[in-house]
Amino acid sequence: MKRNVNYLLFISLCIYAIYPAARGTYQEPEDFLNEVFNNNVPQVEKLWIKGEVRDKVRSVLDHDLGVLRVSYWRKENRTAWILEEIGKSLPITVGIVVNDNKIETVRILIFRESRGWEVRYPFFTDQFSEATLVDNNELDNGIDGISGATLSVRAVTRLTILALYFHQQVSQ
Amino acid sequence: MKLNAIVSAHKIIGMVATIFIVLLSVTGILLMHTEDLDLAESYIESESVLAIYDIAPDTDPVTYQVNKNYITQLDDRIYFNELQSARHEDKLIGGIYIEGIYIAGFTSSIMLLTDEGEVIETLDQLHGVPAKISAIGKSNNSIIVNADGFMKRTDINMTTWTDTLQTGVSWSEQAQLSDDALDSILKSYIGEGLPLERVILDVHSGRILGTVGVIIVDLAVVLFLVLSISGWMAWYKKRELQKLIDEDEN
Repeated sequence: MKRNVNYLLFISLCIYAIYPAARGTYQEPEDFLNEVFNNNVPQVEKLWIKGEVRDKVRSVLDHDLGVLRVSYWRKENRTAWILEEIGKSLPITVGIVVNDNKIETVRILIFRESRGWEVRYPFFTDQFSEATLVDNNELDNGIDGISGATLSVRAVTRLTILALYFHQQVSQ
Repeated sequence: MKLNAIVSAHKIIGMVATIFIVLLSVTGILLMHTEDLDLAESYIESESVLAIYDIAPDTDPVTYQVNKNYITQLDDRIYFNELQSARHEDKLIGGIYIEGIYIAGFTSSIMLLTDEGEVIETLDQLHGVPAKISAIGKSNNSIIVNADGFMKRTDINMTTWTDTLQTGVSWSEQAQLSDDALDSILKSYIGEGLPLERVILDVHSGRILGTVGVIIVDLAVVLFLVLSISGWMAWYKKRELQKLIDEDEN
């Protein structure tokens, strides 16, 4: 009996230890930009979310972005975006780099929810590499979901679609 | 154990368990369709249910009057007059109005709002906003902040921040919200404080009654186990009895 109780205690401690580690800041947005631009971050630029762009955002997210202006950083054909979308109830901060209309990098920077944090792992984010935008707000390559992280997967996928769309807008 | 005793026990346990089966099934189905039914976005208005949860803000409201309008922070919610504009965790330290834009200053970020309270953008250290801001004010069309004891100045584009010794700065000062406006904000806060999903989840797990509720649900689950075992036992005993009757008849 005592042995079983100890075993249960050990398992509980392991779970307790894992959960706080799952939430948090994995990489500061500033560090992300420094990394993707080799410590030479370009001047911030702004994209206004209005008119057709606002309609497109609504159709991708099913709601407004919550801001009327988005910051981005551009060097030649590459743009970097720090975007946020709510997974279940709290926003996930994602850093996305688009290079010549293709996804170069997707990285989860800040994860605030208690579930769905598996989206941070490269086995998930690497799926977006080279993805491009096709008609109907879709990515050209299918993204495999993660059991138990459906809402986080959806949030990251939607932000990736937005970043590709925003890149098209600022590249015109 | 005799068949009659098992069947009687099975019946009694079954009747008690029915209440929990219905409760857990209904709440379980609802929780399975949280998204379809928008349960996370539907908020409880019933005062008796809200009273159970004792939902109230953790902090007192902080308000600044900006060009005839009011910017208020209540916990992490930012209100433009009585309308909730955003959620933001930094502490509100003031607000100013420049070139048709409302600028709410926080300890380490700045939020730009339209005259209808829509958030244009929130700028933080990533955008060069200084940390440890304790006051925000304006001088002509310049934005002045006191950051960690140093005055810094920028314009509405906020692309560069420079040190300044500017005098004659009109600093933002805290204001008092009218009772009606405060009531309206509190109502909005509480109204969006308790999603229906959480209540259903708490009913499902028994947590709505605290520890006692959890124990009751635990016992109900034990009842389900006993019910299934007594059902199997009754079936087995009946089968054995039928076999004996068949043998006697042959």
